[in-house]
Amino acid sequence: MNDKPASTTVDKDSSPIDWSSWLAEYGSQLLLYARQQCRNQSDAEDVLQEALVQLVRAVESGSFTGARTQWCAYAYTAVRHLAMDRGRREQVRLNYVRNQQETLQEGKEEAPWLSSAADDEYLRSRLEAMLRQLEPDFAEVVVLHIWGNHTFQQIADMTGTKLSTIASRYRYALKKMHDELKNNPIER
Amino acid sequence: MRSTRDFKIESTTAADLPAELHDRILSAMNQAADEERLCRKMESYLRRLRPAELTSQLAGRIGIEMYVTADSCRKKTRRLYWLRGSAAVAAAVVMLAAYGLPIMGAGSAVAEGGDYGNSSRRVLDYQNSDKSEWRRDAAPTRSYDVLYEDSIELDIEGTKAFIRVPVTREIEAEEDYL
Repeated sequence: MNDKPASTTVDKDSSPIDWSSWLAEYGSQLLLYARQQCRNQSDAEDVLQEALVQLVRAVESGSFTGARTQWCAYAYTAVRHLAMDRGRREQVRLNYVRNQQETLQEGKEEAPWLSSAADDEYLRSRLEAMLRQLEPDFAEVVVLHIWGNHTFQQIADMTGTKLSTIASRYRYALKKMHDELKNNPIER
Repeated sequence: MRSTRDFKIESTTAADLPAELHDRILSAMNQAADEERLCRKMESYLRRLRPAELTSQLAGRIGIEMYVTADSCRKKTRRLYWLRGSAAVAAAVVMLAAYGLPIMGAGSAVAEGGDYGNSSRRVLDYQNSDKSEWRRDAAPTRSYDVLYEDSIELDIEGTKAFIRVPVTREIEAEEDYL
């Protein structure tokens, strides 16, 4: 995956940090979140890279005081802030549905957000399409809860939203996806 | 399709609910149960999927950036340690000199009657100087005695001029000291 030697150093606990392994473990779920937050694939990749560099800098310089288990949450938050800082978020809010529809219709973005077993490929394409068509705030909660393994409370803290709002968004998103599946059942 | 989790409100012995309220509550409970089942079902679908893996190109690019950043931070940290260490050593030398503690051979100078506690430079210069030379050149006066030659090295246009300055001290002070 990476020709460079593993970047190892020593953290506060005096145990070595293998950033390559860490990236291999959490990279995919962070990329999924970045793609949900950003307008397109290249923006998401840039944001992910910048967020992880921020994480490394914070940990290596000692300015990040959290435990190792909190690095992932730090990276998620960095991805979110960076996506907002770049001024993409507003545009995403305004044009999200239109862009996604255009993307799906024109096949602009070929790289999938999700992966599945071979026999679930049709399910994947349907669910992914529905996920992309959800409102960004709703899709964000689904991505963070299902694939980021965050609790509703953690998502509320991260996004600065009330816990009840997060729970409502999650239920609404799943209901909307379910209704879509109900109207157009999955066929094999 | 209703599952066994569908709710039914049985008649109670205390006071039967009004039919209208009974139906309303039952409807709300079943709706909540439906929503819960629906969520679990959709979750089971979604959890069958995984985030797409990073391409090797992207993973390589980000991995290199992380490596470079980590390396850079470590070098900065090492530089900071080095600077802190140097500052500590310099401070220690100044403190030792200021308080007249003997360091690295200066003790012999003190034993010979020297009082070099006022200047660290004098002590250091004394260590490097040729004792026999300054003793030979010492002025045999009663009032003053040449202790050693303080030397100053100046690099003027590439020619290292070496200036020696005799440092003297009153004999009386030495006597008092002894």
